[in-house]
Amino acid sequence: MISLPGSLETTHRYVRRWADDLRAGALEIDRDPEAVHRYLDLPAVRFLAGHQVPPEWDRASAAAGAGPAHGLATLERVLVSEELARGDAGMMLGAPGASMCGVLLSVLGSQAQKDWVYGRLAERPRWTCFALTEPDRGSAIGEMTTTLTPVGDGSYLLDGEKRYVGNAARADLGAVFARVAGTERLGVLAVLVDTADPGFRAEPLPTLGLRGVQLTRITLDRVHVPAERVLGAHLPPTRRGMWSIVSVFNQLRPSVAAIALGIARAAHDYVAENREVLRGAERELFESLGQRIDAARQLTYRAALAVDRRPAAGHLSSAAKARACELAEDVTMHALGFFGPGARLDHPLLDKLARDARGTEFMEGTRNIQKLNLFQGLHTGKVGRP
Amino acid sequence: MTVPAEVREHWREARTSARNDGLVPALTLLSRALSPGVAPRGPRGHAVVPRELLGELAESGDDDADGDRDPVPGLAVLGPAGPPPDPSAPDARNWGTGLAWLRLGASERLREACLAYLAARQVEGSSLLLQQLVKGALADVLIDHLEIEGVLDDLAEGPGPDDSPLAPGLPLDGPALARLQAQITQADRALLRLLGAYGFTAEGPGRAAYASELLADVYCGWPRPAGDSAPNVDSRKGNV
Repeated sequence: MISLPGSLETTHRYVRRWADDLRAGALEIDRDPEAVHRYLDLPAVRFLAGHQVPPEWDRASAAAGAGPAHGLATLERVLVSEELARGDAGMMLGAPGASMCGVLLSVLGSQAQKDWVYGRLAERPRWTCFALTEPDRGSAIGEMTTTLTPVGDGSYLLDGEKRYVGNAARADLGAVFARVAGTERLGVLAVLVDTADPGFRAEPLPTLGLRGVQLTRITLDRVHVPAERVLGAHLPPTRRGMWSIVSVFNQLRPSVAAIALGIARAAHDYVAENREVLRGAERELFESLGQRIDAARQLTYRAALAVDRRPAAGHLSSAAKARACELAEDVTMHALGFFGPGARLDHPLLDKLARDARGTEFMEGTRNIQKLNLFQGLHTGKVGRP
Repeated sequence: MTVPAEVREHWREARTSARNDGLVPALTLLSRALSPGVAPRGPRGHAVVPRELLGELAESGDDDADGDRDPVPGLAVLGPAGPPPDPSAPDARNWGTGLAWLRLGASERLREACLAYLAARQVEGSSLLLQQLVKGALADVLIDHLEIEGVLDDLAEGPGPDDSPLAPGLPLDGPALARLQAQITQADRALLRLLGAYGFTAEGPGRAAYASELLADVYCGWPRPAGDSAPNVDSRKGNV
């Protein structure tokens, strides 16, 4: 079995306890995403916002945005994400904090940029957003049309549209991916934006599940981006572009897999708690789902370790993300089956979990995208070979 | 249950051998290592034995000596002889887990054969391998293989502390192993579908896949039907 650093074991114990609090507000936030403001004092939410830390939470240094001292940042996020999503994925994803921007900053951010973001996050609970996907073009880098136009003094004007961006309507800060006008097809940069700047507008986009994260559509109309907000400018060119984006996604995918696992575990636990006796084929099905959760967890944790050891090693991340999202849909649907007709109405939490499970499919690449990644790895011998 | 380190090593070797050399050499290796001189018997007393080892066995059972039922050349099937072993005994568990490793290796070998076959086939001017549905099907199998590898690796690495956040929620018991074996079988079937009629011929890789299925059947059986349909209960009451 994979062994964890002691500080991570401690973190896990705290986060697991804090996760239970999230469940209490799950259905309320599902009805009204703005209700998250009433839960900002929960330890889990404060932790995500960066305002509370578990004992022995061990950072490499005191600098803003410093990684964990044990060096396993992806594994740490996976551990936390699985537990908190088991509490409630909607509340977890809708919580304030650095979230995906934190991962982006860890790869592309200078210390001054980290100080700017984390300094503002420290003031009070603030949300961030991560704007990549575009209407009709998805997340394909080569198709991106949001544009950074150089002004001449090193700064840019940002124009375009983004879609399906979580938390953007409530965010103070965000990261936006855009193409520099006149550059080649893959010439994409990530920039930090202050959402209060003129030209930035975000509107909520109602969804069927994971409502806490409040997806939005963003319009960017000549948003001014100072030179110091361009991420990766301090890095060599080979570390700024696609390499960094791939690396960020490799690190994020195990976390999405962990969120899907958390949803699956919540549904599985719900069956255990609300069907006191399971016999025969039902018992078999329940145990079989439990084994599938265990197997997908192993895959997810191994994917996280692989990325922590080598950021380019993303094939296990794709496998874990694809498998865990499939599992979340299967387990939540089967869980409804344990309660017979009308289960969605009589067991609203299960109905929510079955809706939430679908939401993980689209994060950081759909199952089909993961499979194309995996095929490419298989075809080129980068995965599946001893 | 603590598994001796040498047994775990034999498990891993069975996978490597099945992948590199094929199912029969791997089974020969595993049989010699875990069941020397004795045919390993399934829960109902059957056995599948490399023909090469028949002369080394203390008992022969109902050997189909003319080889009519040989699943692949080089393998013999034996009918029940003597009392069947207790499937929960450590030796039977170690053998069953070893077979899962072996079958994973055989399935990976089939995957490689599939890649080579599909790369050589052309459709509308390009390789069949580059059709998106084919890519997706192969990726699905790869995900299964990686997941199974993780579960088996975990077993081979030995248990961690019970309170570890990474401890599995359920033990890998007999029914769980049967489901894992079924997952390998389903991965094989998915690969065979990509080979079309070629996978159905006795000359093609389908024959080794059949032998692998036979091993799972003899030593494990197919998992009991899980009953996917909703029970006839009043959902508000939960249990009836």
